[in-house]
Amino acid sequence: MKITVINGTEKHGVTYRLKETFLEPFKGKAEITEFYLPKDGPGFCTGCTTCFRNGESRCKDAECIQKIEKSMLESDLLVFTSPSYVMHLTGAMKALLDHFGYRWMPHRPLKEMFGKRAVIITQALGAGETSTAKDIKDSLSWWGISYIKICKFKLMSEISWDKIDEKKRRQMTNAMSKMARKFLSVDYNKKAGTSLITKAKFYAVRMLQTRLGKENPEYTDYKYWKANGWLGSARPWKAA
Amino acid sequence: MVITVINGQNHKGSTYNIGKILVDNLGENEVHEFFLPRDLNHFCTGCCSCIKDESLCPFFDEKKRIMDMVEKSDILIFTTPTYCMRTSAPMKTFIDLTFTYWMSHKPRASMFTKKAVVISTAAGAGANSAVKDVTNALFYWGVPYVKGYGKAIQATGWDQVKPELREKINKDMASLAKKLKTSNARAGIKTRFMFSMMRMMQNKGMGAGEEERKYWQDMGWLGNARPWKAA
Repeated sequence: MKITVINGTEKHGVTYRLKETFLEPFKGKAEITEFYLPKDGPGFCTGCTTCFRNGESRCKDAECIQKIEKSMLESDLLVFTSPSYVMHLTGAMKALLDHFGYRWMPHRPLKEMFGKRAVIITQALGAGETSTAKDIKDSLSWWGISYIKICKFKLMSEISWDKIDEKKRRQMTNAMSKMARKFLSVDYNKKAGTSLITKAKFYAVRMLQTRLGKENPEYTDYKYWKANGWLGSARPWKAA
Repeated sequence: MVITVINGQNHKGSTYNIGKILVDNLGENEVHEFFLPRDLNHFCTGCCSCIKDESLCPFFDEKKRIMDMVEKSDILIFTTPTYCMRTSAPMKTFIDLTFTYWMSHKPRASMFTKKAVVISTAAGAGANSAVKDVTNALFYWGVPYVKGYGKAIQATGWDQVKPELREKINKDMASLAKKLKTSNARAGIKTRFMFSMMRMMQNKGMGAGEEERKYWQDMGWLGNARPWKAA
């Protein structure tokens, strides 16, 4: 199997440790590709809207984005990690997710995403782990992923791994190992199911695209939906 | 009055233009403008050295240029486009880099008497959640008077915005400007409550270290002084 890991920071801190614990049992069994942001990422999205209008290949960061997208496409499992910065995901992770705006369902979602599985790993000092996880989950679910598991932790006063008390460390690593076992036991030949909420979003967008297509048949997103057959009876979660 | 405008994007699109209409409506003022990422093109590395000493931040000089102006201002205007139903990454990064200004760390007394407006536009949905990302940070900075304005403009450029909608935006900005000029910025119960919670934390040594506690001590906030009261 293949795993793509996207890290919202380059720092090897608590989030990194948690991620390593999760990946431990996969080593030797899976091909793991890791990206560390901002180093391996695209910098900021400039809001030029070229991806929406003229296609993603004309984005100034196309090379970087397509490399990450290809890796995600080929993977069975996606792992997103981000510490909580001021109660939300890191700026670096936000900058990457901004670039994937064109893969949101109202634009041009990838049908492969509908069957994928993902896990989000986050921790916060004091408060904010829930909203950080949600920031990332929002994007993933709008890409079409239904099977998303969240590992979130709240720390108090200490952020360096060695100074966190023993009991708390054990509690966190146990939770990560448990989650890893859960993902190890999955049969990745079978695609993950698509939830009712995702389907509802899909149908709402389908209506929108049908309307937009009537106004402008040359609209990039409309043409994409039409080419995929989604305006007819094809559905991204069904095998063709 | 002194006004600082912080734009969450380099280009002058719809969001920028709405901010500009508001500034024009506020009359003759000293206006300072910043564009992100142009004026602060860095991601927070999470090194946490600012907790000890803010000047240790690798991007301290660039950040200080903006934040000194923010502290001097009477009105702050933030504009951010909506990306993926949230604030833009450059704006998020700016908020990351200024986190020691939060009440939980070293809030600045000057913030507690300021007024702020956060403006965002989206082609479709999400403008209000983008606004909320920023208003939330401003609340924790201690800014007592924050107005949000999120608008779905159904266009990707300012020149494509329908004339009726522009008319509506013009009207909204005129009335918002009037409100800003006449209203008082007083710390409300929510701000005071949050401040007292943070004070308790510092008092019990649950803050992020001795440096922070000393800051609160020097400001007199561990005693009877409060940032919203004149000394």
